[in-house]
Amino acid sequence: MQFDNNVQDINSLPKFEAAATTPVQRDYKKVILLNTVTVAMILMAVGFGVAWFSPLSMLKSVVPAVILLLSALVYYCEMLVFYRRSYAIRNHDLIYKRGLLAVKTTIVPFNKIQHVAVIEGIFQRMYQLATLKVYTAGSNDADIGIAGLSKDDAEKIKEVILSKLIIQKDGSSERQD
Amino acid sequence: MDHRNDKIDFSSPMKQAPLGIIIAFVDIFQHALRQLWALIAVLVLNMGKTPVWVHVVVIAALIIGLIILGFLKYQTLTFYFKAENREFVLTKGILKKKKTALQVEKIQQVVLTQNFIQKLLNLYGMKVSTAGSSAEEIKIGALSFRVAEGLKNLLSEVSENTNRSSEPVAENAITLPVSTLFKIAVTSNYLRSFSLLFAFVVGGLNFLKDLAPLSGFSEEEVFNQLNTNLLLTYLTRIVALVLLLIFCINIVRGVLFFFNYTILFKPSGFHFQYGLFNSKSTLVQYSKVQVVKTVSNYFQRKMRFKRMFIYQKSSNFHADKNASVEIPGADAATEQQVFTAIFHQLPATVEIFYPNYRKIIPSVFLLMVLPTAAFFLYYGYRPDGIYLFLLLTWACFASLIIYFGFRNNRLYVGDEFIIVQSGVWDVAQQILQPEKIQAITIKQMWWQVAADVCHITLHTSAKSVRFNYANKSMLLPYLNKWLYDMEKNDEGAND
Repeated sequence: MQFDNNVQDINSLPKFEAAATTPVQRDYKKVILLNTVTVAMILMAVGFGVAWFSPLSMLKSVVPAVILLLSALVYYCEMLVFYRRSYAIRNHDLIYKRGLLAVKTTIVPFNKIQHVAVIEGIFQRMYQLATLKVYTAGSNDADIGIAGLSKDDAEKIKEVILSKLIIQKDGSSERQD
Repeated sequence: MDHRNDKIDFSSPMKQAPLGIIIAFVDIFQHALRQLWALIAVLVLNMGKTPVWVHVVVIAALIIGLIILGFLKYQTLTFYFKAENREFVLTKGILKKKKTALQVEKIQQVVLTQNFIQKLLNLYGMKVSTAGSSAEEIKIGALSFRVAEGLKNLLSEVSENTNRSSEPVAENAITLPVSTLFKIAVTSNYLRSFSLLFAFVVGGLNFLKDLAPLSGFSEEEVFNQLNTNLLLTYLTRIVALVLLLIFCINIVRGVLFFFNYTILFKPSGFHFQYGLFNSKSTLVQYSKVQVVKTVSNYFQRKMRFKRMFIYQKSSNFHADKNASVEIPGADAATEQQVFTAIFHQLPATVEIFYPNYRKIIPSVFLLMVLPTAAFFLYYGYRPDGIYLFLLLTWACFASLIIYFGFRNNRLYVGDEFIIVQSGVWDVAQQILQPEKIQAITIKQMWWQVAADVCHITLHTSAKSVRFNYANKSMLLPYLNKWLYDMEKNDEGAND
């Protein structure tokens, strides 16, 4: 039997940094808008309530202005973050890139995944979008949640990961027997 | 003795040892003290006002109530081993019954403990913990030696059978002599001592400040009296005294806590036993070890031993400390044996990465700019001896911290090992194998793109290991290699 134990050239291994990443669905921008508007409306209601009973009449105009400004700022930042959110699926792992000031890239091999979930919020459901959550046995910050996938894509990725998990589990049980 | 040991029937529900009533009572009593301290305080404060018999009745009622509770607690706690499901089942609870079933395959650790009371009664406590998404834990307070050993053997045997490592490790035992424990206690915990000292000095200064108005002098007058000379003579004495005290406590605590520390190398895992008053016995399977950390400072390196921390899979990340087992003083031979048992070889690396010089920027800001700014904001600028002296001392101290923190930070990379070294005084090396990594995160701030600097986090199922300010393009091939190492088992399963 031929046994080769050549020096492995680590530069010839597949490069994760070269994998082309796909941005999430454009419709997700609407979800961001709806989320921001909802939060702003709730804050407005609370703010008005407080300002109404406050002896300072000036608050009645200042509070809504501040809330509007903050909401606009949050929306703007969320938008910037949106354009930096992308993912890639390779044969053996999932790559997720996000972040505005700090660009974070997390790579999770399929065989390390413990659990996958597809979560749909109310607004996401309106546009057939979903969040894919992937849990590993690693610390909590190693779990990733890709928001703004189309629901079909999310389900497909979930199926791919689950099939990999099943293959892997079968393999290991065979080896044990 | 041994012939009686071999057969205990765990298949039907059994109770703890009868003396467990006392353990349960003490347990509840401690709980009650914590919960009812307000009531007790009221009783004590009203000592003179109400007649004595009221106190006697209340206390007697409390104690009788607690004894009954203890008895019920003892009565309701049962456990058994369900052979067909391979489950260890524990039922407890007086009003609300709680049944916990642990699958033996998922058992991570079986620990026998003995606190002071248990030692008096010759009983053992047992803690069974698991890993996985459902973090369950079983605690039993009072077991006779026979039952405790039987259970421990049963549970570790069954889980051993499912997780047997390929190469059996030679059975062996190492006991650390008291002299080693003493040396370790003397040379470690500087940071804790220092922070205690710092708190003491700050507290003392604040006390003086509060005292100043009472004595009729202004704050300024008091502080003017405190010239450099006075400070140096009195403070050094107090500091020396406090340091001595902390040292003594450290030594006594260290030696007693780890007294008679023994590592047993069993075929399936380590067996750690230690402690004089509270003895502990912990089992760690070799295959479940994720990260090994060695810590040593200047003195310990001169004496040629290290402290080792063994991290295993944990589901509870907030209790990171519980997930590690400490070997308080390992010489080179012990260290080698531990490594060979876990990794089947000694950690070897071929390449070293140093952090970029930018690493010192945040530490300079945090340790020098920020404290100095806060200092001036609080006290204002005074061309005073003490102020300059304090500032300069701090600047020297901070620059030493920054320099050593930078110099000691390294990433060693080998074919099968990754070692991250860090620390200022206590230099820690975290050793892990790429295939144990669960996920990798690479972080880069936008202003670091041009400098080609990034921060990497290697998430394992025990803890996350970080290396910051790495040269990105130099590290990328290794990141890809680690990913390959993590994923190649996947490929093997597919073939």
